This record gives sequence, C-alpha cells and structure tokens, in this order.
Amino acid sequence: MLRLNDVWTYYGRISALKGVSLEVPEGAIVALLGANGAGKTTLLRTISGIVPASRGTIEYMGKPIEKVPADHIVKIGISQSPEGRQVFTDCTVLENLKLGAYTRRDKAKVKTDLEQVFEHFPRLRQRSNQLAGTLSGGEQQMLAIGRALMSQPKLLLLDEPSLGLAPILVKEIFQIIQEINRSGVTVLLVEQNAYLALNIASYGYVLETGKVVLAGTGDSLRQNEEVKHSYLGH
Amino acid sequence: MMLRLTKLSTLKRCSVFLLCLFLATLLAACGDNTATTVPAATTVPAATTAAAVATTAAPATTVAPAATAAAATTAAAPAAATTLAAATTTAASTGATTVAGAAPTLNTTGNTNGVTDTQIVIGSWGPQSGPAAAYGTIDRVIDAYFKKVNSEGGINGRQIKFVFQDDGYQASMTQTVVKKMVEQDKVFAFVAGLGTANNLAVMDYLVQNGVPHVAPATGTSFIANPLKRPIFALQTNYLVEATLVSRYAADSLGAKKIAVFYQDDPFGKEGLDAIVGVAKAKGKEIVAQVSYQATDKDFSSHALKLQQSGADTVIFWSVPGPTGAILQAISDINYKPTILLSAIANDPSLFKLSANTIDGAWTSSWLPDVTDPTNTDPKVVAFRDFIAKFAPKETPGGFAASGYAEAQIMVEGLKRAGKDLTRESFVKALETMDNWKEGLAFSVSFSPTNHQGQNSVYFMQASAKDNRFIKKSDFIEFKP
Amino acid sequence: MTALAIWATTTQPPLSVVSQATGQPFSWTIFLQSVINGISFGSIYALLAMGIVLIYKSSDVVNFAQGQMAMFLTYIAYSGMGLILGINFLQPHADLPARVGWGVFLGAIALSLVVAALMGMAIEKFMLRPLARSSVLSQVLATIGAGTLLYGLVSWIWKAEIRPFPRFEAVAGRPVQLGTPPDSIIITLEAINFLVVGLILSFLLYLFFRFTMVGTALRAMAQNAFAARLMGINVGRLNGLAWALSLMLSAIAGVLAGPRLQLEPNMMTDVGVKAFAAAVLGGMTSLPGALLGGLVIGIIDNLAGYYLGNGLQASIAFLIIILVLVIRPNGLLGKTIRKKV
Repeated sequence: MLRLNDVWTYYGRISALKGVSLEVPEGAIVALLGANGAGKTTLLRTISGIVPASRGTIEYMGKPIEKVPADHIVKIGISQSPEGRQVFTDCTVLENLKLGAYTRRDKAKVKTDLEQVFEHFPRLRQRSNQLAGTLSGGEQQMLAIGRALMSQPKLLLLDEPSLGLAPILVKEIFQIIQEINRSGVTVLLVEQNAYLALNIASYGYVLETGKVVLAGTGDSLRQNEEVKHSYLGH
Repeated sequence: MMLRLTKLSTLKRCSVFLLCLFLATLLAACGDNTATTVPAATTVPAATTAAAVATTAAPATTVAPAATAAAATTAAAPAAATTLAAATTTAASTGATTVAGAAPTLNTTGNTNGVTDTQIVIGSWGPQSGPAAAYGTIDRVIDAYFKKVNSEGGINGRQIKFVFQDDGYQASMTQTVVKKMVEQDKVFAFVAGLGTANNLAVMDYLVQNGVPHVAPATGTSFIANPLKRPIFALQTNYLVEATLVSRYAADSLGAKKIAVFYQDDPFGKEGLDAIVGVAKAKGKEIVAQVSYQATDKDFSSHALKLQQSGADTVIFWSVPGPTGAILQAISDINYKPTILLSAIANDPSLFKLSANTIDGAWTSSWLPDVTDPTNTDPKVVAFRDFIAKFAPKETPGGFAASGYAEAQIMVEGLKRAGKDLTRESFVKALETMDNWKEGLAFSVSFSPTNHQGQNSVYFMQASAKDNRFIKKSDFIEFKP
Repeated sequence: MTALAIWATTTQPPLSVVSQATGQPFSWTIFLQSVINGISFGSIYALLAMGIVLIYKSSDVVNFAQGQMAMFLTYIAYSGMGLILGINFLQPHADLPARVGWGVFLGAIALSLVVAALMGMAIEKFMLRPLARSSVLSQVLATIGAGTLLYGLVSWIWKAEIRPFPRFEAVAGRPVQLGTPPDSIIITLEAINFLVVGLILSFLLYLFFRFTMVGTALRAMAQNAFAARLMGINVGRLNGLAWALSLMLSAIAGVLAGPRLQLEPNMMTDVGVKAFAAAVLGGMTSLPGALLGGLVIGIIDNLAGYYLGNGLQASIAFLIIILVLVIRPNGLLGKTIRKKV
C-alpha cells in the first residue's frame, strides 16, 4: 500500500532521514521503532507532506505522492495522529472531530463515522461539548486518534500514542488500535514502547539516526537479541 | 550554517521592505516631472526619501487655492517652530513688518550672476510631482507669464530664462535644487518658491549669498519679519490676516464672546496670537481656545467644547480638511455661531467638504476672486485672457492667480531696476514700489524698512445656494 | 497611572469637578454626549481593529497597514460611485454629488468588497506566503512597506487633493435630539449607523466562527497551524481568507466613515493608530475584545479631548497601547497568548 524508496529529508542542512526504504502492506499494522531523534516523527511528517522529501520516492497505492501537498494527502486517505496529540484546545471535542472530516463533503457518511468514533471512544461522546484543552492526557490521545479517523483514512499514521499515559490507558488504546485495524484501516505505528508495538504489529522496522537498521516480522524482531537489548529492556 | 541561513532571511526581509519603499518613491516621483536635472538617487537614499514622502506628505494633502495653498505647508515646519514663534511675538507687538536699523548691503560677490546683455535667469521651486503636485500650476503659470513678457520684447532688452525645479515638496530636496540653481544655473533671483518649511530651509542660504527671492508662495509672517534684505513677501501674511479678520468680527459682525479653533502648529498659533491680541485691544472676551492636531479626524469633542464655551463667534485658523469636518460636527450638535475662517479655507471644495454647513461663514482673500463670473474688474479680465492665450491647459483658479500676481511683482522689479541690473539695484528698485496697483494684487508697497508687499484683505461670505463665496467688503488695509 | 486617573475622574466624577480645559462645572449631558460621540467613531475603530485581530489570529502577523488598506478601499468605493454615476473620478475636482442613494451606495460597497477580497488574498499569497519562513518581524515590515506603497499609489492615481466623500442618503437626515436645549443630547443618524453596522458585522463574524466549518477551521488554524495542516486544512488559502475578511471589514468601515474622514491619502492615519490601540486593548486575539476596545478608545478619546484638552487627545491612543502592554498584555478580553508550535 505504501512504499518508501531511498527517502532523504533535510531540516536546513541537517539530514534527518538518510535513505529510508520501507513498505506497509495493505491491512497490516507495521511498527516503526527507534530511539529519540532516530527520525521516526520526521518520517511520518514526510509521508504526510508536512516536510518535503528532498530525494527518493514515496508510493501510495501505486502512485508517487512525495510531491503532493499536505491537504491533498488527507484527501487521498492518509491521516495522522501526531506526536503530543496536538488537539485544538480551544475548540470543543465535537469541533475537533468535525475538523478531522474537514476535507470531506459527504455529510451523511461523516455522521455515521462520528458515531463509529464514539463507539470506539465512548468517553468522547460524554465530553463532546467540552473544550479539548480540559480533557485528560488519555482522553486527548483518544481524541487525536478519533480525529484522525474522521477523515476516513485507508492508512493511519500513529505517532507515539502511548506517550505519557498510564499503563491501563495504554492497554485500552492499543486494543482500540487493533479494533480499528480490523475494520480495514492499515496502520503505521511509531512507538518507543517496542514491546507493546511488536505485540500487535505483523511487521516492524528499526530506525537509527535516519536509517533503517533492522526489519522483520513482529515475532522475529521480538526474538532479535539486539532489539531485546536496546528496546525491550532485557 | 545556521548563521548563514539567518543572514539570508534577513537579506530577504530587508530587500522586500526596500523594494516596497523604492516602488513607493517611484510612484510618488512619477508624472510629468520637469526636474530632469535632479541628481539620480541610488537605491538606499531613494528608500529613505520614500519614507520622507510618507511623513511629510501630511500637510501636502490639503489643497487650497492660491495664496491660501502655501499656508497649509506651515504644518510641515515643526523644526522652524521656535524661530517662527519668536518672529510672531515681535510682529504681534510691532504690527507687521517694520524693522529698526539700517538695511545691510548685499553680499556683492557674483551679484550679476545670471544676467547678460540679452538674458536674465530667474529660478523657482515647487512640487511638480508627488502628493502636493497640484501646487505645480503656480510655476507653470509663471513660466507662461514670462513667455508673454519675452514675446513682447522682454525687459530692458533682456529675455527671461525661467528655470523651475521639482522639489517634491520636501524641504531637504529644496535645499539641493536651490543650491544647484544658484551655483550651476547661475540664477539671478527666485520667484514664488513654494512652502513654509521649504522656504525656511533655504532662507539662510539665500540671504548669505544675497540671492533675491520675490513673493515666496507662503503666508507666514516670518518671510518678511524680521526683514531679510533680499527677500520680499507679497501675500498678506497670516498675522495681518488674523488681525484683520478678528477686527472685522468685532467691528462689523458684533462679536462679543469669541472662541478660536486653531491648528496646533506655528501656522495656527500665528493666527491665535493675533486674534487674542485684537480681542484684548477691543475688550472682547476669548471664551475658548480649542486646538486640533493635523491628523485629527474625530472633531466631536472640539465642537462640544466650542458650543459649551457659549461663544457667539468662532474664528477658525484651520486648513480645509479639518475645517470641513468641524463645521459638520458643529452643525451636528445644532450650534450656530457666527463663523469666520482663515483664508486658507477659502476654497470652493469647502462647500462639499463641509456638506454645505459652511453656509453663512465669513472668510477673506488677498487676491481678487477670479472665479467669480460676474467679476468685470479689468485686472481680472486681463488675467483670464492671459490664461486663455498663454496657459490654456491651466485652470484659471486661485493657484493660477497667485502665480500670475507673483510673476507680475518680479517683472515690475526688473523693469524698475533698469538696464544696469545687479542684485543690489534690483533690491533697491523693488523698495521703490509704493502702493503699486497695476498687478492682480490689490496694492503692493515695499521700502527699505518694509518687505511685506500686501497688507490688505477683503471679506466674503459663503453662500451654499451659489456654491461660492460672495464678496461683501472692499479691501481693508492693515494699520497697526 | 495617568490613564487610571483619567478613568477615575471620568467614570465617577464628583459633582464639584471643574474641567480644566473648559473651566465649566461638570454636566452629565456633556459627559453623555461625549460618550455617544465616542461610540460613534469608536465603531469605526472597532471595525478596523477586528480586521487587525483576524489577521493576527490566523497568521501571527500584525498588519500595520490596516489603515492605509482601508484608505485605498475607500478610494475604490469612491471610484465605484464615479463609475456608476458616469463621472470621471480621477480628475481632482471630480464632481460627485454630496449625497447618493441606495443603488450607488450599495454598488460602491460591492465593488469595494470585491477588491478587498482579491487584495487580501493577493497580499497573503504574493507577499506573506513567500515570507512565511522568515521571521514575524520581516512580515510585519512587509505590511508597513505595503502601506507605504498603497499611499504612493493613491497619491499617484487620484492625486493627493482632499475630496469630499458622498454621504449615504438614508443616514444624512437630521440628528435625533433627546431632551430640551441646553440640556439635550444629540445623536446623528450616521453615528447610529456606525454602531449598528459595527454590531451586526461582529455578530455575523461570531456566527461565522462558531457555526461554519470554515470558521471553525480558521479558529483551529489560529490555535495550531501544524495540526490544522494534518487535518487537510489548506493553511495558505485560509490565511488568504482571513486577509480577505479583514480587508472587507476595513472596506465597510471606509465607506461608512468616508464622509466624516474625507477622502485623502492620510484619511486613515489617525484612525489606523486608534484601531491598533483598540486591538491591543482587546488583547489582539479576541474579536469581541477588539469591538469593545474600539468603543472604549473612541469614548476615552472624546472624554480626554473634552476634559483634558485636545492636545492630549492625539496621544491618548499611544498611551493606552503602552499601558496595556505593560500592565495587562492580554488586554480586556484576551486569553493568555500562546506561542504557536
């Protein structure tokens, strides 16, 4: 579904991605692991068209998208829940969700999708008229994911959904991610918590200083000594 | 690396800003620009000039007719405020223009500059472009007048060569063009250089070099007071005018409680001082002195204050824009005093600017009303014929009339100086003019102790029905 | 401190207060009349201030040229009237009538609004978007440059002569008088018109931001431009929209106030400064704040002019800007200013 081939991305003169190639098959959950500053967030931003790739190709459903502007990326079905949630704090929960559907014109379907999101995250329904800034961290994370779902994505990019959340909440959110995936949405999951990520991912990549250093199925990576040592904490 | 990037963006932002300023300069400098010899400006100074245009243009936007026009420029002369104020005080106490002491002789070096057996070079400056370009008529009419004189054989066998330059109404530019005209074009004398700030900027230079300047196009009393040997003022100055206006209010219009509305600058204060002086002398009460800033737009509180003062008569020493606005504000609150306006507001546009609330207001003028179709004064008829024949492109209004009157004084002085023309003889010849009435100006007198040519005005009343000012008095002469 | 003192003396005047400037005992009629006059011009400041806030909220740019842009758009409206009436409006002494009816008035407003919208989008696209990666300072400088450019353009095309701006017939009638003279208060129809239009426009803006998707997106973009882009919001286009709306408000302000301000390149210089003060007073990010700020500035302006002398009137706006920035940087209704990510 998504294929990156030798992608380079620069911030000024500093390269954040140094020839990344990877593949996300349709219907899968693919995990992207790596330490802070490895380039994971940059990679997602590059896919979303926020940061331009200066070299290499990004193919989505067989078409090159590395030159497609950010607002169009959403329209063709790639949606992102960014690192740090980034909800619109002065808008209500409902407004946040509607903004997620900003590019869509099919109002009736938007309504049923909103119901769908509320089913995934019943707490958001309770708080739908509350300002997003007043939500707890976990609720904000749910809102960020729900908002990303509102654009009816085929590919969902999730950036650190577990960051700063209590373990019980993390578990809940990962269950929902699996639910979403089962409903037909392909997921590219960026995580520092490699254990959790590899539990639900069918495939994984390890990024280090802008390069892919390891790749394999979820199981094989979990068994990998290097991954165990560096990311699984034993 | 980061450093270089920062520098780049700084460069980018500076260049965009400079580009905008530069374009603004270009635009301001466009139009039919007669000043072909103005030194070409490089990019950076050009940008600075543009900024100057923006800041100095404020007074320029007030366009009044003829004599009154230049007065608006007073607003541009904050630098000269102190000197002017000093001059004002002297003048207020002494009357108008007399200065004690013997006249100094002119600097004689090169005092035949610009004069040959067949030619006299005369110079002038004024805006031909930019926001104040409307004043440009004055120099163009003078040019036409000299052409007429030349076609009739010139003066004492000499033809007049007229050099006039565009200073864009900026005092700094005036200094440049005047220096150039004196030193390169060898100008013998100037006529009708325009603007208060502009005149003040070159006054010392002209006096030091003994270059005569006849009939500067401004109404400030500082031109003739204190007396400067080579400088000869023509139009009735603000001080004299304000005195005559307030005397008229007290003597003929029955004013008892007077309020003054004035522009908060040397022009306005010159008027205020004279009005207060007259009120004191005549035992009338000044019940309010309300000032405004040239940029003010909301005149509600000013109007309210004038009304609350209980004044039966209000004298306005203000330029046309604010005058129109305050007249409306006064009418809005149903206040109906007797109104007298400075001649600077004596402009047909005031009827619209004030939404006709000017109806019934009094004002004065130092030049005959050339726009009055019923005026059959032979001098006015001669003026109309002249414009039709020699300057058909110019509007025969106030600007043209003042240029015409100013050129006449120049020509009369040159005639009187005779064949043996030097700056010294020219100045002496002008000083022999006594109650001269052959020009468009009512009566012009100069002497070794008086360089203020005209000291009289006549009064008019605004009629909304006729959409013009109607003459109501004869010329009234100033006596201290 | 001074402003506080002014406030104290003007809101709760002891009966013995004698105005220094007028030397007359305090009168409630005069006070109310000053407040009403202040509200009248204050509505104009408010319209421009809301424009400044719209732009600042959406793109962090302080538009110092709001006044000049309004001035330019008033010239456009004036030219529109000339076009409709078939009068050569470029000529310095163009003979436009003193009053115009509904048709001409609305036609001129329509033209001015269209030009405002196009101009707003063009400014965003061709001036600010190329500068998007430079500092905010450079963008602010660019707005100042644009203002200077417009000033030159207007002086060049229309010349700088002061021109009367036609009045709208429907509001040119006799003023309303309350009470009997000398204790009467007078309200002009024009003043009522200023206030009513100001209030209607702010209400429409409120509805727009609250209940439309685009309005919500504008708010979202103001809060978090990065996240807005991830939602598929075209930030550039929305910024252009904010500029267009802002200039349309200014165009309306210009047409309304034209007869009072008179047409000249400096017509909005003073108004622009006061509008900026109003926006700062309202907290720079709040539209209701800008509306309130405009009215407050107009009222303070008039009270200060009457009770403290008109010399101070011109500088009172600057005083307010400085005081607000020092004492209450978030203004009357503004929330804490957050730095965008």
